[in-house]
Amino acid sequence: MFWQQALNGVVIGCVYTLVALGYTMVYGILGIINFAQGEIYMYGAYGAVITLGLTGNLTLSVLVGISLSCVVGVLLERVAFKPLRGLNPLISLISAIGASIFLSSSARFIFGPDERPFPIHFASHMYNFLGVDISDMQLIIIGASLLLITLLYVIVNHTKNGRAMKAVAMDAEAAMLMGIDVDKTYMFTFLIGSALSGVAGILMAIYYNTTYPTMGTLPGLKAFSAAVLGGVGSIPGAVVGGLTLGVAENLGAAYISSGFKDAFAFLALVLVLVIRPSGIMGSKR
Amino acid sequence: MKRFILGVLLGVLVFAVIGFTGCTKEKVVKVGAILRLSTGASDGLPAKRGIEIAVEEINAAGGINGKPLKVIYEDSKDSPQASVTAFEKLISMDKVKVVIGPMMSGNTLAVAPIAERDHVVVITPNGTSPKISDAGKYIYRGCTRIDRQAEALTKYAKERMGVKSVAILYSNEPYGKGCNKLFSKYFNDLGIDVVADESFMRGDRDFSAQLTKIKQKKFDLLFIPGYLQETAPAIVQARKMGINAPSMGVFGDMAPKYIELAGKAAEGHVIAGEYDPDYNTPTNKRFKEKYMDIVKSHKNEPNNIMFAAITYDMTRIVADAIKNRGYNADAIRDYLDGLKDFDGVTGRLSFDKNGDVVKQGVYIFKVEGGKYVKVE
Repeated sequence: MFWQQALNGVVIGCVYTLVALGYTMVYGILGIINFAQGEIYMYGAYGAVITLGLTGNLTLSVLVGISLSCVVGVLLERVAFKPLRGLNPLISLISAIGASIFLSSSARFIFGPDERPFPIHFASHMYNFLGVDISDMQLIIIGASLLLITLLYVIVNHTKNGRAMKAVAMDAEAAMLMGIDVDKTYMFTFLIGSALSGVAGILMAIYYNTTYPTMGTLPGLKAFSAAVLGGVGSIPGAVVGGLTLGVAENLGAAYISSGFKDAFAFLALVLVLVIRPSGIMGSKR
Repeated sequence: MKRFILGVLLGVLVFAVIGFTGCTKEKVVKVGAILRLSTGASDGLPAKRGIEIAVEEINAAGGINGKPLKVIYEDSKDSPQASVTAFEKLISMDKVKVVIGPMMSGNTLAVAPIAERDHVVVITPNGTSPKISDAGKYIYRGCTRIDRQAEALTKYAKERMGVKSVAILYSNEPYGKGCNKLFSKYFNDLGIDVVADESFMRGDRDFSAQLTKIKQKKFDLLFIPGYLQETAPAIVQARKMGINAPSMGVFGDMAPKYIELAGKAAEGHVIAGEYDPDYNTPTNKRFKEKYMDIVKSHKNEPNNIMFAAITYDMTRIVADAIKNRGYNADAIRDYLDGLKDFDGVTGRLSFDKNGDVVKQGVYIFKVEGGKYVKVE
């Protein structure tokens, strides 16, 4: 049972990771915490579910879902964060919380308060590896996450935009002096972070077969914890944090008590912060 | 300039207050309703529709002694605090003497002391906790107590399904926890073993940790008390993991949404319900038709005819009470206590000495071919 539970934890941990990457990149580069990340995740899911309901084309709807997430993310940056740039970061934080409430309320208004199932059913097969059951949907989630994390690694380290992001993260003013368009870089950061959250939202909408306006709240909170756990601002940290959180809550639920499943996730966070305040992979500033 | 604007604002405020208080001598009969209209709207909105259908019928037939009935809706947001605020507002500003709602047991118990103090009749449409029976003489309820549902369901499990052992996966909040305790007791009394009891939080969508644990045990019934937002994905995951024992739930699952969300995994699911859509009376036929029209023209709205049916009945009873006895809490209480065989869509209704509704009994439904079918 241990390995089965650990695998369940890895699957959900992958989703936390994708959302945590958005948190951590925005924090690393803009120095703000975007509490509306979970809502971006929710819009991605809605974009896909509604398009699929209308057209029946899976590829198209995934693309629409991701694009909707990106649009929401970029608009968010323009409307809620850009005007506040240079002010106390607490002001951006409050703006982010406000944006998060606005986005989930407007989703309830636009899409209705009810849960929506995913329009097509995925026939699910179970595979057995050394006594551990894994479904094809779980394989897809793990595979897609690995692919996206690798892609992100390549973008950040080997493209011009990615290097610009790193430069801005180190020192925005110096980067500007070197001719980097800081505004564009901020937008690019939000774009990538939102796309990742959008994919996570769509994967979850399929995996759990439901989409609803507050679906982003809890994953958003957990992903934020995962980012902090791994060391906020660090991309490998988000991956380690997401997986640790997912596995910790599943093992806690399995061996101690399932009623406190969420508590284990946050307990892991508190423990790490006590022992290593900058997070597992965080740099000591 | 600033002072001038302030003066104008103050003037407007004074007029607004005068205008508002002037309205209290209105020619309408005001009744309050506290429903879950934002958080938990999946049963709050249908409940509101039930009231609306009743109000429309009552007013089309000339209102209450010539005055139209007006229901003032407040949102309880699924929280006792919001319910109390809404309740205070209704009794102090709108001066209502009877309130339909709040929904859910916790919210009802939160407003009960105020209702007792200020003498306002409260009728909860879906608070099933046994505690509500003793909450006070002004507190009534329009649904069956959870222990009656437990009795009917466990008996059905034993006698008709031949269940010998059960695994419980419950929602970790007062409702689910209460169900776990109560049903465990009834199962034990019937000699059915409870081999596992695991829980999940509201808002959870991942039940793999709990289900992996449950799967280690041997049982022939999986009982999942909670709200359909969690119970539907839970049964889907259980089936995906190869748990094939038949499933049972509580009346929150009685919604087309449950079947829509759970799909094939819903087949064979057994629940106890309050309302039989095929209940063969002219009143029910008329009500069902009107509700279906609303569902058809409001695609994005949650659809749950059972909650609409309960509030529809309660609104008509309240209107009748005011019509016959006048607008006074004690008079309404008196009418409710003496009510006999009211022609409701959820049955022929009366109230017992605790203010709990009495009807023919609890129906048992089973999902067959993507539909709830009445089996008992």
